[in-house]
Amino acid sequence: MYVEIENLSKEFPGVKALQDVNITIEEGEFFTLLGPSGCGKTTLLRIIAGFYRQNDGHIKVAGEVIDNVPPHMRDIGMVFQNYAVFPHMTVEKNVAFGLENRKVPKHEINTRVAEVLDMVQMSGYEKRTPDKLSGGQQQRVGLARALVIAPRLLLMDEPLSNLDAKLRLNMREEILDIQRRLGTTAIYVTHDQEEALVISDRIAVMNLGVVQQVGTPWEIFRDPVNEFVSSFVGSMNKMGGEEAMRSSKSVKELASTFPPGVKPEECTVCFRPTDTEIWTGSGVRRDDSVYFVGKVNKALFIGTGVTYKIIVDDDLILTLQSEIADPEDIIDEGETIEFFVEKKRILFFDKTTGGRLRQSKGV
Amino acid sequence: MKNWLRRDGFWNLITLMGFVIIGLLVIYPLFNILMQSFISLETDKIGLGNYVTFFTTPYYLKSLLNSLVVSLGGTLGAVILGVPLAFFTTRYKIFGTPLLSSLATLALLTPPFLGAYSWIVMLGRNGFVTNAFAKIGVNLPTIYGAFGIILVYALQYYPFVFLLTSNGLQTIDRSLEEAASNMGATPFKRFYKVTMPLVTPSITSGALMVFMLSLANFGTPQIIGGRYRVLPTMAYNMYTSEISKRPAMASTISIILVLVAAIGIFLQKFAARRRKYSSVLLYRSQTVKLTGASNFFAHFISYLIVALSTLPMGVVVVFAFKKTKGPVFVDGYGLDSFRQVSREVPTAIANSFIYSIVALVFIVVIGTLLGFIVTRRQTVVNKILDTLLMTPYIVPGTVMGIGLIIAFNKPPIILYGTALIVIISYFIRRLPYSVRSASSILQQIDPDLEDAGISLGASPARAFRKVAMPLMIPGIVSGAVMSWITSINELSASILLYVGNTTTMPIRIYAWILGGYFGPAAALATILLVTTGVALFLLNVFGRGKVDIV
Repeated sequence: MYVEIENLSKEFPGVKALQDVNITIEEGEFFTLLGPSGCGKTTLLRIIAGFYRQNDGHIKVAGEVIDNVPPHMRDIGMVFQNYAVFPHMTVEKNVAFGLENRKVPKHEINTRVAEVLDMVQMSGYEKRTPDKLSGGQQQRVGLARALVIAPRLLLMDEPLSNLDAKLRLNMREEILDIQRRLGTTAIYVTHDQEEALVISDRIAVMNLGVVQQVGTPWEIFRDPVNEFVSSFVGSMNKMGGEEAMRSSKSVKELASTFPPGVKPEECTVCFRPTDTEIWTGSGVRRDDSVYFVGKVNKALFIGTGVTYKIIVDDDLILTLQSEIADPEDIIDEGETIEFFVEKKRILFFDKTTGGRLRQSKGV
Repeated sequence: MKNWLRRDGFWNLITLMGFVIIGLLVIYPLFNILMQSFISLETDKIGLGNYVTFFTTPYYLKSLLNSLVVSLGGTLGAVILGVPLAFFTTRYKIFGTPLLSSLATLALLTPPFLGAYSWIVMLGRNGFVTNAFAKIGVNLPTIYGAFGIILVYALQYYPFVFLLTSNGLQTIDRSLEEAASNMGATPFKRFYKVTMPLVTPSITSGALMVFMLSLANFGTPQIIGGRYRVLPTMAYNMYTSEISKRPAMASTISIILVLVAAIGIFLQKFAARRRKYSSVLLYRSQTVKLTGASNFFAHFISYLIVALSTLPMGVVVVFAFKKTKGPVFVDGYGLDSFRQVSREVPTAIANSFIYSIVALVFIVVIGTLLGFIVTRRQTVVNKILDTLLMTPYIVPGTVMGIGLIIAFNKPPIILYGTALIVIISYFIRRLPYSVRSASSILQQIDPDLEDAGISLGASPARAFRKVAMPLMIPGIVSGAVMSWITSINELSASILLYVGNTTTMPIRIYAWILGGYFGPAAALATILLVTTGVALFLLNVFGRGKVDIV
């Protein structure tokens, strides 16, 4: 394992920022720390960079314990949320700064700076000062500056969150391309779940200083270990087990999907809006699915289709995602409809602990 | 590890130095004054006798009342001048706004007693305006007394209100006013209900600053006050008359002055706490081009205010070139007064430059180091130091002067009569500003920048030198120029501390004015004005950021 974070804990006065964090990251991996603000992801990143000191636990990079290495000797590049581009230096000087600290010969600095600026598409901006650059350009400089030292680890602290939406989409692909090309091991912090899913090899979802789940984007999205992960990553319809039973058109089918030995009142039933389909009433009902009934409260056109808000069991509002090609196919508000969800797409969580309850293998 | 210990040791030494400086140069002198004030003048008994005398003798009590009257009057005047000017120049297109702004700043930085003197030249007993009106049979009301003092304060200090209010008006998001209009508010109602409340905190903090400066000012009431005594002039005059005995009443008045100032600073802190309404500034307000009569009116008012405040400077410069015969001006222009200055007071000019520059070196170096520890090394001890460092704010120059004399004209440390004590007074009076300025510069530098430097392999010391230092320098230079200008114009403390061969330009100007020698006074004042103006000009040209007068 290239990066090993072992039993790491960090306490600030009155707050347990990190509790017993264990993560291993492979060489060349793009690893993301995902969670809401205050979950400890930035704290963890700053401990790895050496700006904070953990209360407990160890960090190893390439087999070396770096706990006692001061930050400027860690050889770990960092990209900051607010860019932190030195305002009194030109683009070129900013990028050369790390190489100068390493006493790299002048001619080599010039070549490497030119190379890396080309890589982040900032050639031609060498002599500009940061106040003449847009946010996106400043962040490119921030990235170039961190990459040029060929760090053994690249840390990125919400590097795109200050950029506008469209630029964010472009930049994340560029960052991924560059990371793939260089093979640098990267740890990326974000609160944006979509960004995390797109960019990462693996993700650690964090909440309240505790790592909830580590897995590939697919695992995190499809196989969340608890209710927090399921609803933080992607959107999720939630209903109590009893409510689900009441609003189901196929009570028997639904009952059979419940995890063995779990009573409806003990669990929460969840499924994603994108995993639902509206039952047109024609043809044969599918026996791999569970049917629910509800009343259309709102139909929202979102370009790629329609989002329905459905009232079930009198007061519960669920969201359905439906692909619709023609406006006349949109179901009017107030109409009663049936929709179905594949049994294997239904997730159950313990009502009290939020932990995942797994269906029996047969379903 | 050892390296770090050494660094800590260094910073602890700075903390210690901060305590020693404040203890020795502020607390010890103040303590001496306090002790003197408790020893009764008549009975030599320890007690509140002097305070009883102060509050029961109309002669003394009147000075407290007078101080409050002129300070409040000056503050009110500064608000009346400053707010409209701020409003016109930020909201309407006023031709030459940068020039108006620079002139106002220059007016602010000239010593107020020059303004006082200049108004006497115009409107005094033998003033040219007074005489001109007398020729046509009109007797103008006297300029001496409360009216003159208030006039000078208002015209001198309104730029504080103007600059702070302008800043306040510029940082109100346009959409707030647009929202008010959108919800049906008339322009007047919008101004009254939205704009004014939002900018009030800025006006208040400017007004309180004017109040504090007016309260502490010595030169103006001394020159234009006549028999109208305020606390600083009363303290000064008591001190000079008590010089053979113990300075009991001077000390008592000083303590009362400090207490009034402390109440003022407390109010200022209170106002500052509510100073900023948090709102997002996305759209700066626009300046509108006025037309017709309202355009003329806005220009007229703006230029009138600035002209009135720069008029005294103009008068000083013109009179510097007038021919004189002894104390009397005669027709014709020449360099007589300047010749007299260069013949009689080259020492005063040299002293002013030497003292202010020596003081400046210490103000900048020590102020920056102390600013650094109170900002970036926030221990309990440093927080206490931070509070103590602000004490010179509430000690008017006159009180500082009296304190330094009482403290250092006796063993163990005797400094009275030396150049050092004048330099110390410059240094200690300006130190809190320097600490504040360094600290606010540091606060504006994102700590992430230093962290970025460190993550790129620079040691903490190198990151400070290569990243934080270069970013601090423009702010430090601008603060240094301000400190230097204030020091070279200082009168109220140095007038008490100087002896024959440690005289300075402001002291010399003051003495000449009192002696009626307006010609050489004007010439020397012109030299001082030009020096100040050149320093400001250089700062504007070479300094990157804007001039931070506060």
